[in-house]
Amino acid sequence: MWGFCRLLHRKVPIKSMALKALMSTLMTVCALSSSHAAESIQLVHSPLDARDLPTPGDFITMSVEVRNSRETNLKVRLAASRDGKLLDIGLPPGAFNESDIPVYRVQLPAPAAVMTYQFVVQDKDGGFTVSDRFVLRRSCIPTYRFEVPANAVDAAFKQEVGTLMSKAKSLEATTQHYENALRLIDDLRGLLNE
Amino acid sequence: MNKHFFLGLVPFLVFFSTAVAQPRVRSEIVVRVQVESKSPPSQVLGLVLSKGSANQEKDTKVTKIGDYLYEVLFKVPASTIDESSVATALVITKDDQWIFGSMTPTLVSNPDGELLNVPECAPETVSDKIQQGHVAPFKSLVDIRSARADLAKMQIGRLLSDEFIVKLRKAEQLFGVSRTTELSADLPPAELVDRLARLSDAIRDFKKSQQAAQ
Repeated sequence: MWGFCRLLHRKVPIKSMALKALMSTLMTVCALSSSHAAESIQLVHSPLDARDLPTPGDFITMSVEVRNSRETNLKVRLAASRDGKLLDIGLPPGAFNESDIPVYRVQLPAPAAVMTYQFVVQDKDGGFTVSDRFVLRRSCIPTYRFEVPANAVDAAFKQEVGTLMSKAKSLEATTQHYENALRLIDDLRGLLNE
Repeated sequence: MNKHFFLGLVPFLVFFSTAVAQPRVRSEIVVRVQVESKSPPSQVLGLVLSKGSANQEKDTKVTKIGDYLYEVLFKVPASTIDESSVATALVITKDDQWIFGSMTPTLVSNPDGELLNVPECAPETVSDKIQQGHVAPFKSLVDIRSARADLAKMQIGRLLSDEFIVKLRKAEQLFGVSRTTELSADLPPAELVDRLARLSDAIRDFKKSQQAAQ
């Protein structure tokens, strides 16, 4: 591993942005593996209650307090596996909360079933601190189905209502997702035109 | 940059992976990872990542199981698995694309593996309080919501104009977040959000690292 890390620091021209991003992450990992965690910094995160999760695809806000630091522009990352897919997000600059502690926040789509994640922070001296590992797991995957007991009075009528209610709920979620997508498209337009 | 150099480095990329696995009482664990790829794989690596180490398994078997779907199978000595282990696979295609497979649910206690075991929520029951006269408002609600969803989709279609969608697709490829299905307004809405969010994060991250380098 040390060999890899030394190699990473050689100056080699890289053409692709993907490779640049890869290099950047790898350098972070190498530094992480070779550094002692900065003792002074503490990462405090209160995990969401899975019962409060919105429907999959809706946004959740994750936040982490960086204690024993006065910086709001540290490099903080969220490394996660969401529904089996890797996710590695750099958090935007933090802000002080009411207790005067820097808090970093990020919004991301809620998982369909489960997400495991950790926060990683790099302090100004180059040291790294890794938070505990958190697991956010739904007890069940949300559906929009309605059922009518077979022996219900007016079963056919209730079935019709159930179908309508199911459609209405599903359309509500769909619209919400499209509105989120519109917001992201707007965001991307800005990013790509900068 | 030498491709093999990167191959050696890739396991560390996934070092942060947070899924957990429990050892089994078997000497070898068979890992199956599904990978989406438009082009046939030319090189395949099985990757097993544990807290302090990363192992590559070059002895892999690749089977085409769908139009663009491949299954990578490899064996891992049980002794190399610990509680932090997680497995995936890296496929390098003939046109030199790098594609990671999903985290395998084969390692039974991997929380992500439980995706397959999480049941659907029980359906709600239609209340007995609903009466015949309530059907019309529900129909109206469905019509209104349907119109709203159509409008939002139309707006997305308009915003994802030819030029812009080409830009986004190119960016997905550049940042390594491309998938087999092309980005378009016709994707399932939750997937569309996921793809756009990933792309937005990747671009923002890249810009930040560029600024830091200056």
